Amino acid sequence: MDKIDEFLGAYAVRDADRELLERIITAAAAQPRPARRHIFAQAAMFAAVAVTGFWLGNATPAPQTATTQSNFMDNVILGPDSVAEMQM
Amino acid sequence: MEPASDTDHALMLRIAQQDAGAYRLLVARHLNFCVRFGERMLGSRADAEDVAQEVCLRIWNDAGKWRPEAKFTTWLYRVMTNACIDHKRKRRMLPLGDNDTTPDTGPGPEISLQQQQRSRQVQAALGRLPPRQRAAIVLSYYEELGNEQAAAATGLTLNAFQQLLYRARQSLKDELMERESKDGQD
Repeated sequence: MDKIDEFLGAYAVRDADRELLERIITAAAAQPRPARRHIFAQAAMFAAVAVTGFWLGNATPAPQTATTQSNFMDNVILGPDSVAEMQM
Repeated sequence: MEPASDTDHALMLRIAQQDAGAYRLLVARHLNFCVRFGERMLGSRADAEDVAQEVCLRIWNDAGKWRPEAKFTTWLYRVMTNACIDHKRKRRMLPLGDNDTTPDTGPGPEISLQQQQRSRQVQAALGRLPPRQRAAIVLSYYEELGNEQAAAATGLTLNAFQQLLYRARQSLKDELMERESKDGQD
C-alpha cells in the first residue's frame, strides 16, 4: 500500500446525527410549498398582463389635429426628402 | 433490496408531490454522505452541516424540476461538490474575524491519539489543495466512486478527471511528505 493511501485511511469523520436530520425536516416543512408558489407566480403574471392590457386599451391619446399628425410623420419619422427641405 | 416505490427516483417523484414521508426517507438515506463529504471538503463540521442542510432543502424545493437524466446519487455528488466549492469561496471573501472559530469536535474520542493526529494532518493537507483537486480525492478515496461516476459528479470528462486526480494525488503527497519531514526535524 502506498504511503498516501495509509494517510488517507486515517482521516475519519463522524456520521450525521439524528438532530441534524430533524432540523432539516423542520426547515423544509417551514418552507413555502413550491407548487403553491408556482401558482402564485402564474396568478401574479396573469394579473400584471391583464392590468397592462386594460390600461393600454383605455389610454386616451392626446388630441392631435390632422395637420400636426401629418407634420410629425413627415418631419420626424420619415425625415426631410432633400437637403434643401432640411435647411428650410 | 429496497422496494421499487422506495428507489431514489420514486422518492423524488413523491417529494415533487409534497410527500414529507418520502422526503424524510430520502434525506435520512443520503445525509451521512452529505455531511462526511462536506466535512472532508470544508475541513469543518459546522460548515459541512450548513452545506448539507442547504443541499437537502434544495431537494425539497427543486424536486418538481428534477429530471432522471442521471442517477440521483450522481446528481447529489455534483450538487454537493458545487455547494462546497461555493461555500469555500464565500468564506474566503469574509473579512477576518467573521470566520467560525468554534473548534470542531473531530472524529470522536474512540480513535487513538496518533490516529487523531494523522487525521488532522490529512485534513490540513487536503485543505491546502485547490477545491477541484480536493473533490477528486474525496470522491475517489472516501466515497469510493469509480472514475466515470466521479467525473460525472465533477462535471468533467473521464480523461480530464483522471488527470485531475493524478495532480491531486501528487499535490497531496508533496504536502504530506513536506509536513512529515518538518515534523521529523522538530
